[in-house]
Amino acid sequence: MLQVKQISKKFNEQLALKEINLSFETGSTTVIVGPSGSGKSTLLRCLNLLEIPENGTLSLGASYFDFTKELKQKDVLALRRKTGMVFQGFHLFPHLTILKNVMEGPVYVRKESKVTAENKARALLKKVGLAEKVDRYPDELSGGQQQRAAIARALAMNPEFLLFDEPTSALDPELEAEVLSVLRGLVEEGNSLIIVTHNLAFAREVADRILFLENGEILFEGTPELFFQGSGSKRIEGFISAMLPNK
Amino acid sequence: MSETIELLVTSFWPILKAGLLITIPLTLIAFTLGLLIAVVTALVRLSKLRVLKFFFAGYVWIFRGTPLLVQLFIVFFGLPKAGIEFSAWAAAIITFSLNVGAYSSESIRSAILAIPRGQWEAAYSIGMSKGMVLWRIIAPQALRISVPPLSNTFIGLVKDTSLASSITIVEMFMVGQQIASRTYEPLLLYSLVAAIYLVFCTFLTVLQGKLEIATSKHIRK
Repeated sequence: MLQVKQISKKFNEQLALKEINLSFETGSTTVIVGPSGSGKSTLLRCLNLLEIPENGTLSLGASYFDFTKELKQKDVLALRRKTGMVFQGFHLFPHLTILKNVMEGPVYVRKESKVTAENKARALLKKVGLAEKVDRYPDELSGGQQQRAAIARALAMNPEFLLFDEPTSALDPELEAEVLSVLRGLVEEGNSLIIVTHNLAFAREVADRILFLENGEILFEGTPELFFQGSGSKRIEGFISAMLPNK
Repeated sequence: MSETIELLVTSFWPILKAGLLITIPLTLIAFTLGLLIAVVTALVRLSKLRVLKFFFAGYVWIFRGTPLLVQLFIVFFGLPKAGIEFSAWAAAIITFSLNVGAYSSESIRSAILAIPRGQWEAAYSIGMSKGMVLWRIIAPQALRISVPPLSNTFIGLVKDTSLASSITIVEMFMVGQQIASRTYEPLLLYSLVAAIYLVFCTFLTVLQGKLEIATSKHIRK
């Protein structure tokens, strides 16, 4: 279980997250939604310490952080190894082939043998439908293919939690569909996923739990059924009808 | 006419020899040391080491802000007054390295800064340490970006080594000058010297092209 208590994050004196308390169960899918600038991405980035909160605590397995104290670099790296991140802009390493991109973490961070890492990387790339592209460079692939490769790169570290920061926001609908189908596969396998997205239809389909964030606060936490039908909040109903006009 | 050709032929070898024995080794040694200095300088200036940053920024400020010729004179003719003596070669290598280091550090710093933040974050997200990110992810990409500006500095250095003549090093330009003053043929001799520099630099230009191709394999044309 990944748990945060009372975490706050400021950017230039502006509170981006206000004393958030959350726990994420292993094997479940949480989808975080909310308007732009609500703090969704910041929350996600705090979970693998790409952003360091000013206050609160975070725990995942043996990792425990109290953000009021100085963090040890070694502990930060250890936590990041347990959480995979998929970015809106893919951020594949452009100087490496897709295969090498996926092998990079296992070989240089986990110190696996190149043979083991390569076999695993090939299997993961096959799983995301890129078996034919292993020797291509990122620049030679479509956005959807790049994002699927980035998912394989995150999976290669065997993370306990996979974090997705608007994974399809940079893609057109056709490419979005292929990435979402990979995500569905991960949900069905019972991975522990935390997904920030604007795609409410997809959220309704895969989420075990939906979080609605606004102004750095959690306005809703509960099942998709409750979120879409009976949250009782005018703000959330307005958000849903703006995002899903054909509902 | 035949005298002209004869003069060119007889002068060619002594000048080229000075090029092969002085200009090229001086350039290679100074550039190699300069690059090492530049990498350290760039990394320190991008780090959070406040005192060191200040020190290295001061170094770049001084070496970019004063003429190379004056730097050579200070090191070779000036420092002995303070009890620090160098041979002409040592003075030349020290001065050229520090000068190249100051300029190249900015090329390297800008190349590192040009790599998008997402690359750092993606590498951090798979658990890499800062050093590993720099070495495995940032350096290979920064290298490609820094090849053209570093080539500028390298080619500039080849020609700047002619200033070593002013601190008693008998390099190509000095040899040409000696022959010119003996034969009263400055146009011929200095043109010949210029032509040999041009040949050296042409070679480097070709090398730059090859390096650019080698470091850009992943870029779609």
